[in-house]
Amino acid sequence: MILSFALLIFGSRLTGTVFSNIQLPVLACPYNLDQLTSAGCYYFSHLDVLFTEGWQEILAFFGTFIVCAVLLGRVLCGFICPLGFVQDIAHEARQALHIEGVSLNEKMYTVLRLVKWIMLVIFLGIGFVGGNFCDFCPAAAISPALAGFKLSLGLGGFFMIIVIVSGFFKRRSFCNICPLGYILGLTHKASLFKLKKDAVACTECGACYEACPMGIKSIFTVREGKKGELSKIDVTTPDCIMCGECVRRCPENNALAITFCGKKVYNADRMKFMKQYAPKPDKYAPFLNHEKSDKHE
Amino acid sequence: MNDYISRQGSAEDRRKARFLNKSSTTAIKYLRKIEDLPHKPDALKPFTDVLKHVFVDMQGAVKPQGVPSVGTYCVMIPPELIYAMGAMPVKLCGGSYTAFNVGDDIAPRDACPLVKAIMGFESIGVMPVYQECQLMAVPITCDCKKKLAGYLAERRNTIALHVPSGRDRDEDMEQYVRELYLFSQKLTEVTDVELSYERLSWACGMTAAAQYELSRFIELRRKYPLAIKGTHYMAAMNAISYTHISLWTRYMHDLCDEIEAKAKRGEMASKENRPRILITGSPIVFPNFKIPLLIEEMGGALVADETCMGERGAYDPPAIVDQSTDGIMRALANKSTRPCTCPTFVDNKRRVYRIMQMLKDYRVQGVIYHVLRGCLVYDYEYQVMEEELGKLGIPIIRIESDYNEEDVEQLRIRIEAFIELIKYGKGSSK
Repeated sequence: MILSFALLIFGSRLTGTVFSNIQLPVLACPYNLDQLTSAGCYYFSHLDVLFTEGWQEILAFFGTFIVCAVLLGRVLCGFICPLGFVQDIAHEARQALHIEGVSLNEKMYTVLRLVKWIMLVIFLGIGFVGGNFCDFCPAAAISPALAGFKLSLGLGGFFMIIVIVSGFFKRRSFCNICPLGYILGLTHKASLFKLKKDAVACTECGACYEACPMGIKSIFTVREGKKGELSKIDVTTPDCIMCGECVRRCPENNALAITFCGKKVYNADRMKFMKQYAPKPDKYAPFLNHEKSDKHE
Repeated sequence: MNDYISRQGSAEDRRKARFLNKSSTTAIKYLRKIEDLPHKPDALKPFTDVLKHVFVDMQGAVKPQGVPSVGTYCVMIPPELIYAMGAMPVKLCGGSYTAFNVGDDIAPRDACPLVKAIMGFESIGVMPVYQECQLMAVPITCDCKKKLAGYLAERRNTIALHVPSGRDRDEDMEQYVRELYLFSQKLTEVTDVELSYERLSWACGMTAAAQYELSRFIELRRKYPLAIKGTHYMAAMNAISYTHISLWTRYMHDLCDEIEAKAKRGEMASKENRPRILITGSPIVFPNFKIPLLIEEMGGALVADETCMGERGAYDPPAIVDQSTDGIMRALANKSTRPCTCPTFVDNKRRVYRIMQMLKDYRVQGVIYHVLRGCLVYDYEYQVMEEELGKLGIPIIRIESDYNEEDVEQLRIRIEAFIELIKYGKGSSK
């Protein structure tokens, strides 16, 4: 979404310079190496450190984290994460150049999901075996750099380059394996932001499936809610980063919508869809000049 | 016509002359019936002119000079690809009774009349819109299309596209993307134009403009279902098959403007008390307009149709997710098959949902399920439709018809009875 750029620009900047004093429960990266201990992400990947703090500290951490996850859920992924922003830039660069990327491929997503589980295990467990996730986290390499602090390359930088290049060819490739993202997604049932579908309006065109950077097929295949209802079916999954691409590419009125507390904040609209693709009509006037000579031959 | 007969007197030539004569007479008759229906919008004239140009004046499709035409037989062949390769698609599904009679000798008795008409046109070889096609692209959907592809391949440059029978598996869609690439190679042989992103993007933009106008039109009809008679609307949609899409867009734009102005003034094409009917099933191809005309004549209002020569002819837009050649090809493959409600697919539940949505949108009171004699796949789905509509309390009847005018009176009685049922019977509460 276009909106994501505006928000993410701010997100990137803010995480870089403004919030260095506040303990943010979730944002994906420590902003500068001095403030490392204030980031939520740090605590998750260093659970051993967390458990040495007092239990008040632990409760505060998990409490604020859960509040954040319920309030925003993976909207943080879709709109606020700076690494997401970097990947979106790479994707838009490819779109502008019309270069072919990696197209939808079920096998690829199966592999990526496996990598995600591995990453999750490493992320949560590496603290206990004496390693440090931040050493090779690509976000740790790029976020301080964007914030204006020194660029620290090394293993993290190497992974960052891989993330950017693969993000160029496949939309949001890192989000497919991001462990923090998945942890945020676990609360999707309680989250205030949900993705709702109207199965009757849906023509099953598959555009949502093709557009989804996370390869979620259930949004395309679900036809009935759990209680048999046909509209307002909740199709949010833990993988969904709430980027809104599916809603943007949906050509049927009301078939898909992102809702906040049950109210639609972004709804699929046929005329808006058509305006995306319909050019100025004069562009195709050339044939109209031949009209008189051809029609009455 | 008299000069023609006296100049060339062989039996074959006389047969062709009779064919042309009868065919154009039928077309003139139905065109006149369509035009004589009251409350015809002025902006409908260009559309009926296209139909006249092809079926009465016996000229070819309306297209720029030098652009080859490619015959397609289905919605499942994306017109965008053909435009991108420098040709023009012409949807050649046959609706002519005269051609049907010729084709009756070639195709088996129980075959569908649409395919019989196509075979008839091919065998008699006098219609320019068929003769001038440099390539025939036949999607292999139902049995009749399969054998049609074989028949055409013996006589013309033909390509068969293997449409997958299921659409939910990713492998099926990958197969169809490959088929489209093969199709584009065949098109390159005909037109010497290579597949490129710029041309695809241009073609998609052109058809997007047409679909924008069509969507505008559909939104207008959802708000004011009675603003235009269904028969007129179906004539406009039939015209899309034989004319260049940029022209059709312009005509549709004018039609939308006129209908919008009329609707705002409160001028409706049909009275409020007319039962609103939806017609679904086998395609209704010009000049086989018996049933829409009968519905309007017998006091009903045809407000919507779920047929592939009607609204479905250009309804589904390609959702281009990735701006590259492959991205556009994938979008075209998806849009041609996935939302398609053709019963030739294994699972067609989406058709039930689509009709349910249309019932809501147009406030439909009764459904006429049209089955062409020999079209088994649509017939199979009648049971499901009857059940689902029974749950919603909407009356539905099955009308079987063929390509001749002998059953008009029988159809008239049945349609009249159905409309009375809705008006005074169960559905009258609306």
